[in-house]
Amino acid sequence: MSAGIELINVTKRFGNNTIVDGINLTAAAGEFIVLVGASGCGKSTTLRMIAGLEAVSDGRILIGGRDVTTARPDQRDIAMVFQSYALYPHMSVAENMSFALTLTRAPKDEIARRVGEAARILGIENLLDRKPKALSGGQRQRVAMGRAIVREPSVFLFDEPLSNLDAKLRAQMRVELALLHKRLGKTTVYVTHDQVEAMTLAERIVILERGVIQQIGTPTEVFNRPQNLFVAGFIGSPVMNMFKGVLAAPDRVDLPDAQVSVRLPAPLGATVGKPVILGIRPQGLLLGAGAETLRMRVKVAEFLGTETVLNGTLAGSGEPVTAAVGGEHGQLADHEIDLSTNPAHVHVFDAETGLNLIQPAKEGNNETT
Amino acid sequence: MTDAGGAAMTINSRSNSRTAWFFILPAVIIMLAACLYPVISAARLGFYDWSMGTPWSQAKWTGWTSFEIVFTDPAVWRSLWTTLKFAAVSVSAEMFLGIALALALEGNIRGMAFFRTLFILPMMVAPIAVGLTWRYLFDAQFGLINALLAVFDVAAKGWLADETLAFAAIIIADIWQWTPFVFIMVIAGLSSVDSTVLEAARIDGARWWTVTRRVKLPMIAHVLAITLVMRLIDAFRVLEVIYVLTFGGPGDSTEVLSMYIYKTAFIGQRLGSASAISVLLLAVVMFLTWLALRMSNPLDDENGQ
Ligand SMILES: Nc1ncnc2c1ncn2[C@@H]1O[C@H](COP(=O)(O)OP(=O)(O)O)[C@@H](O)[C@H]1O
Ligand SMILES: [Mg+2]
Repeated sequence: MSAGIELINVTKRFGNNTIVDGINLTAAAGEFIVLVGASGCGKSTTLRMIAGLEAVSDGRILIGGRDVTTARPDQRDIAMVFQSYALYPHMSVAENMSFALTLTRAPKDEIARRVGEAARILGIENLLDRKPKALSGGQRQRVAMGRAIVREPSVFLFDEPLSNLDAKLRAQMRVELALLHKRLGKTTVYVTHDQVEAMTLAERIVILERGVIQQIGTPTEVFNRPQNLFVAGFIGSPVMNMFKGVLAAPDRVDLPDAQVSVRLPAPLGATVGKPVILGIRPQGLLLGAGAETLRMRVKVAEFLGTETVLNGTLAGSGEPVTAAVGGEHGQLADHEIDLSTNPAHVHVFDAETGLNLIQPAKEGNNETT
Repeated sequence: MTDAGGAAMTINSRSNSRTAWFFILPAVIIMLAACLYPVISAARLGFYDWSMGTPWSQAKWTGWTSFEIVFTDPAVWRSLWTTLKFAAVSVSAEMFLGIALALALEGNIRGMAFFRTLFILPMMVAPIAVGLTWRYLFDAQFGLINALLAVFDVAAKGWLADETLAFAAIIIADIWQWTPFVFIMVIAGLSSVDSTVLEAARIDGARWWTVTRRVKLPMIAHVLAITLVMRLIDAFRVLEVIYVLTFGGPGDSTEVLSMYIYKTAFIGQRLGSASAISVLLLAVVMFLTWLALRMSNPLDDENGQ
């Protein structure tokens, strides 16, 4: 069984510091939600409140429609996988996985069946007699997941489960996690600081900054329609270019220092003359002059196999620029080149509020009650 | 894949440990010499009949006689039994109280630093002073303990004059002095426990007592074992407090092995016998140490494979 989760105005204060500030979030039953944000933004605290390891200062938490705000962790029908794995060091893998079931006095053959099945799913059947100490990082990770699966909870909570693994293993486990979710179909809240994990695993991403939700949306939505400067800068790799500009006409932004005027895909309702930030994804900068041309001084050219990432500065303003162009262009280092823009990748943000002026929030995107 | 990695690691650590031995060998030799010399010379005394103050040249070779006497001397077995009882009761009480206190006071309660300091004070007092203090406390006429009992209308007791009460008195004094040691060791052990493991246990449905018994204490099993061994060794060698408090009496009710060794050597002037008994005591202590270390050797925990 799977259950939805509802966070209503959930707040956490430590002393005078508000660490999580009025979060509203609804996860449908079976949905894979990823909480992403920089280190220290309150992701773990939010997850720990859902788990019941941390009391809320304010607000309510519902799991499967039941108010669990003050319930003990074991009464919430959740299982959690920790970054440090948190395995019981004195117990074997099998004992680690069956600990919760032995506490509920489940019958022995039932325990053996469930441990066996989880071990089979995760490919750790040959490790059942080992102690955690005798396992590699990836194996411990699997045991931690096994311990969660065996409980057959309605909700899985993950706190940066892959961040202690090396890059190759992390990529492999990411795929396995996605498959596991498909197979078990359990509601999942997954915390990470890694936007690649967020983009690849999530059905919906929640972007958190200083305890406040910046945007909730599918990976496509947060990439194509970042609601504000923070989301625009956080999601996408390489990071979106940001240039200081002025709204010269409803459909044109001037970059005075660079002496360029960039045409927008559609006219804006905002006041002409407003200071704005022009955001262009590195993928939205194309080699060669166009209707409007940006001149870039390339300093470094990194060839990545299918594309070349050019790093340098904007001629005139000296603002940093990154362009990701198809093919191999290593020879462009130390050259001055012309770039044109792809309007689909152009964003305009209010310089004061940071809000996106072209693609305003989709209705119901930022859930409030 | 991982198995291959494990094999490689074993080979590696084996050659590493050979190199390591080479470097620590001088230190090991010095340590062994420093530890073994007194032991061997004490054991050697057991083969001679010698009185302190007389020249060693007058010492008489007696062979195994002293050891034979020791094994047939009922006083040796009686004092060994007294030692066992003393060690069993006082050390289990100290372990129980020390662990209970540590569990109650771990975490960050306000004023914690003050309590912790308060608790370790007894440990810092010299054992002779501890004995003297308790002697006054247990004094039949002027002692604080009888005064306290009087508040509850309990008649004054001759603590140090009664065989059972005297035995209780030395145990109480030992518990008072050494529970703090257990407390310090356990609280240090607990502070090293990864709190997320305890949280995982809570999510798994374990309540305080289950977390404590099945996760927290097993995670510090090696600390508990070491603490137990150190306390047992000390309890088997206890002398000063008993010396001051009861001098083994009344009768021989509190005459532990080291008290008997002392009396044999310095009152009976039988150094050979005293040394032979010391060897027996050493053997008992070494056996206990070996047993406890074997029960939970943190380095020997790899048998999960
Ligand atoms: N128990 C606590 N007491 C005080 N501050 C805390 C506590 N737990 C976390 N914090 C603070 O809350 C902030 C958010 O922490 P956390 O949720 O762990 O961040 P994240 O998981 O996003 O990196 C951090 O600044 C951290 O110092
Ligand atoms: Mg965290």
